[in-house]
Amino acid sequence: MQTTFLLLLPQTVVALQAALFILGGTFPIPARRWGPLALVALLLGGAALHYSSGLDIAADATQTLAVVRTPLTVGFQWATLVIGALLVLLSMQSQSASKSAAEFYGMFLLMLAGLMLVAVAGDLILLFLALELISIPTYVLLYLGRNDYASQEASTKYFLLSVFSAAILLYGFAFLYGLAGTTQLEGIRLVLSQAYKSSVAGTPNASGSVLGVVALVLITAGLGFKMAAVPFHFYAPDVYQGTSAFNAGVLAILPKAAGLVALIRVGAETMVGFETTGQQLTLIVAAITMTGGNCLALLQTNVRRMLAYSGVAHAGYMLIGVAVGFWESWNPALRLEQTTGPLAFMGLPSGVHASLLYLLAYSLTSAGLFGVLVYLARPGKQVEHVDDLTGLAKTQPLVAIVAAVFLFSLAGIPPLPGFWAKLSVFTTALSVRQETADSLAAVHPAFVALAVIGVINAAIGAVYYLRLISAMFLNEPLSTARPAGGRAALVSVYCAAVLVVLLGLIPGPVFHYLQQPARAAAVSATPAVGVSPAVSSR
Amino acid sequence: MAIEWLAKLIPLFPLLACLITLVFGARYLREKSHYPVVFGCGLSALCSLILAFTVASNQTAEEPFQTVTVYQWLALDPVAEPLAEGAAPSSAAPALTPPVNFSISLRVDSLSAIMLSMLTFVATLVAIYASGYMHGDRSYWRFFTCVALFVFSMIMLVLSASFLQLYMFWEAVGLCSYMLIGFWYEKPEAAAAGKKAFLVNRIGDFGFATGVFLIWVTFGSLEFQQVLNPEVVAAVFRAKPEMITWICVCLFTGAVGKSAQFPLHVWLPDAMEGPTPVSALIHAATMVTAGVYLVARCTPLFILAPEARLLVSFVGGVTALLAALIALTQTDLKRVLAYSTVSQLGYMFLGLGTGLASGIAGGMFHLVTHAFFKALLFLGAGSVMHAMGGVIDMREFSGLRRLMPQTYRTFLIGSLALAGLVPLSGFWSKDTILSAVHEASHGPAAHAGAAHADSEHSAEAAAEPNVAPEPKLLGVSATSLYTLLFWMASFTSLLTAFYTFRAVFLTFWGEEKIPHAAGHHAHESPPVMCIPLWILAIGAIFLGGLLGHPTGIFDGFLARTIPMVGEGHHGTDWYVVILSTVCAVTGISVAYFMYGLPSKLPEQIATAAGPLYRASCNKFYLDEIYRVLFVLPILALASLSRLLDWSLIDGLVTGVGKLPGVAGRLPRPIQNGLVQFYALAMMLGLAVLLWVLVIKQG
Repeated sequence: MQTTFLLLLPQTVVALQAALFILGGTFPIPARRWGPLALVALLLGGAALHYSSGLDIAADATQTLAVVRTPLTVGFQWATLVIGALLVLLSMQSQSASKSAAEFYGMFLLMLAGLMLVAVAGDLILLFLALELISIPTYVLLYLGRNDYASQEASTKYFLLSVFSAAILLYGFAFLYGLAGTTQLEGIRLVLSQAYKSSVAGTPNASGSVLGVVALVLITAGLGFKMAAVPFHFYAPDVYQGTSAFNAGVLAILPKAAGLVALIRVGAETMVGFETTGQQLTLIVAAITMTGGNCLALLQTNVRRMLAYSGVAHAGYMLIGVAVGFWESWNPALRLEQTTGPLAFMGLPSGVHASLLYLLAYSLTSAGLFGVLVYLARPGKQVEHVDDLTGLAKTQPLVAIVAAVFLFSLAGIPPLPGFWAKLSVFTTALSVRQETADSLAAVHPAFVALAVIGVINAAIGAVYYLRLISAMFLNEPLSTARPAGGRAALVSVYCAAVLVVLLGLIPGPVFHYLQQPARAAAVSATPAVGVSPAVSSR
Repeated sequence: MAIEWLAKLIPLFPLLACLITLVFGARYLREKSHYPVVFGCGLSALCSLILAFTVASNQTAEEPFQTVTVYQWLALDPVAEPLAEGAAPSSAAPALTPPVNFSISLRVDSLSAIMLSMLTFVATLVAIYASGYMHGDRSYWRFFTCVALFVFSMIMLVLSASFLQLYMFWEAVGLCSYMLIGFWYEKPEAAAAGKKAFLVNRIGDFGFATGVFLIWVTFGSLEFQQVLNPEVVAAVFRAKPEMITWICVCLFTGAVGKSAQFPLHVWLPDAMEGPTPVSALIHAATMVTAGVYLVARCTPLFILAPEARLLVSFVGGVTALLAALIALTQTDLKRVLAYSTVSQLGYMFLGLGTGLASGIAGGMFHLVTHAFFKALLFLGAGSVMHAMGGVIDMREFSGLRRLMPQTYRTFLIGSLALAGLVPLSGFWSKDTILSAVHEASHGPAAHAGAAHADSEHSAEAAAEPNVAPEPKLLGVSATSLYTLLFWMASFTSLLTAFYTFRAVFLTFWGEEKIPHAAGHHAHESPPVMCIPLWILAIGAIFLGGLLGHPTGIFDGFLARTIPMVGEGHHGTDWYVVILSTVCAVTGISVAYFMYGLPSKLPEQIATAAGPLYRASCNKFYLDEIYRVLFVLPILALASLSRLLDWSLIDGLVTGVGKLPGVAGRLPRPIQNGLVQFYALAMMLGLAVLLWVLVIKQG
């Protein structure tokens, strides 16, 4: 019990401060103070995280808890705090004169606490709570963004559809609980592996039960909404377009990260026995998400709408890694082949780790790119159309270069992180092997097809990113109004640029970090059959 | 430790200088733009000399080189440790492929130390000289930025520890060369010359790139540490001997392009359109020797490829003779020197190709001494050009020795060194090469596979005496080919002495004649230009004697890095010494009688040798032949391709390119903004997924 609280200390600290912010909003504190205070709050969160990650807790102790702690979850929380800080810097100027600055930052901090909670949640209920901790403040944030009809329409739309998807997700969780009789993820895994793995000595029952399949599809659908995966993406373009650039940036990063991590945790890591289904499901969703997002992005002239579709496409790339993750949890032996074979050259992360790398690269780059949009907003007018960016190289050369770096990274041009991310995702898809009549390890045609679709999509994606770059660099500016985003936003953009370039040039440490096992105790090879499912007692 | 720091500092200074002039040059430094570059190169030269001494005192045979990694983009072992534990038994087998390593590393050994010392020293002097020569140019800062970038790239090329890095900076120096040849891009000739240099080099680079690919395929690595390791090479040689030959031929193609060897030498004379300090630094002393350096660096590969070595020698010898023949009749002083550079580079390849210790050391030694006296000659020519108001045609001026005494004296020293007269430095290095070729012509006992540095291989050769038959090129045996090459080289040295002194007599002797362009203020160059001349002249006099045969310092220093074929013979080959001295003296005397004294001889000979004279004048019509054979057909092909591209490919590509757009337009009506419809679509999507996964699979 106490351990749980200690492990949840960072989330608690951030969430408590968020409550203080909302409370403090009623006091006459100048609006411009809240931004720096939010940074301090994140700093305290970081201190708490440093403390709790340094605690010495036995590995097996965490198995019975609702919370997990691995090096990866700690890293994820750090990344959340850093990106949170970048976003806070971004919003400082616009919130410095706002009446609702305290509420704004309070909500934002709550979202960050929620995302950090998603990373560590080891229990279905806690996970759902964490996801709602992200969703509910988002509604408020969207509503606080702008005071016009478009904004209100956007937030209403998001609210309705988000609630709808939460219901689907909960429905899926309910099925899963019905199947396993426990809400604890480690417990579910043990139950499922007993039920489906040991039944036929060693050979996993590929289809699992129908109940499980339904649960998996429902969960994927519910989380797919958060990731903006096709066909659950419909809200994204409308909402991004209707809200402010900052809110669009928040929506593009935080829910997507939460959705991906939750899907990895509940799907690829927990649902033993449903690998084939999970693999097929994510394969299909990944393929249509990539293709749909990119094709639709090609037609857009509104920048935020275009970035919304581009975000959809990126969710598709991330799902490739999840699909491989399902396969990996089925074939721990072949996984070794994958990390030592010829395709594993350079030690690129594989499977879900490739997805996490993609997420990191995407989040940093998106934070920077939306930051550029925030910075370039003019008084009373946001960056809407591609025309608002033309000739940027002439008026704001440094910002244009930085924006080009972000766009190049999203397009996957080496040596930027987007390149490493795409390379890892495609490599890991190509390294999937299957047993056939002729060979023990033949390439898996479906995954090869997926990689090919991914590469074609990368080419399509490059078109609209490069179109934006060419507009910025090759055309004459249409107006010379000064950007009104403020100096803090510029600092945030430059910080993001530095991080992006560094991650691209020195990816080794991150790769090494991602090579660490995802689960606290990698005991999956020998499931303790004797352990009863009643480990959920906390 | 000291080596590590020095190796990092040497490229750093020119890089900083480049950045400083790039950022501040146009606005703040202007006329002072040379300061960062001179200091950068100077500091780097200082470090290089210290490095050379450190290497000389430190190095042992067990550790012939040191690799310093500056930056690692990515280097991970293929085996991931955390997963290897407790998993399948296959983890016991070590990875067969060496770890892939993309890094920028510096390899310090005696070869790179020699190149660095020469390079940075000459670069410093040229930078000082250029501050006088380029004075008043409106792109003063641009010139020094490019020069600093070149020096940096060249240093990195020399210090490269892998073929990838070498290739990268190989292209970078090519780029700098292009920018500097076309420095006065308003002049159409300069722009065209830059383009020509770039395009001709592409042909060589294509070969080089192919070589690098072959190395990757064969060795699975591009690191020198792996590829140039004698044991590894010997293992590969046993598996596929012909592959080594192909790799060597491809690499040599790159060297032919960069070092302006026949048949790709045509770009170098045209490159003289660039500012003269550039000609001295890039197109005489440093960049053009990159090819020689490449071949010397790859000696472990070349010693196992006798056919490729014969090709190197043959191309070198032919180029030396051909370029010397063309140089006989050129009237442009800088072009005479350019052809002379081509010819001397041919000598270096001739020496390297023998594969003998004395040949390789001789080639590298000639590289160093040549850098000094050729840079000296070019800078002297620049000094003349400076005084003559930009005129460089030797028919327009004469008798300058009284007007420009400093230039005259230093130029004379350079010419004597180039002619190879005892005891100037050119004599020692050229003599070493000639001796090596002479030795090689004595038969297979002295060369080829008989005495490889690689003991393993020689043991094998001993077991099977007939394993290495005498290599042949076009059916001619190596012995007779080297005999032929020896006489060609000796004749070339006579021609060298002749055309060099023809230039000296035409320029500095006879009555004083000054072109109109020079006006009335033709004068000796300022001290800032003359002092570098004198320093180089001192080098041109003493360097050979100090480091060459008399002391053997150079050979001993180099021998630690490069495993060579045969122990080489270290005694003086008196036969060669006397022959080459006779050649030099004869050449100088003939030049004196024809041009030093007032005579009608040159015209008479020109008429008598009519067609030959015209052929030499027109560079054997090689440019015209290339134009008909290559340029015109390629242009025709290009127009045809363009037509096809427009009509056929473009249509196809735009057609395919429109597909995603069309695909994107189809579902657009679904995106209608109605929230209830969105919810419906999500439900439908969910239903379809459920149907596919549950119902279909039963």
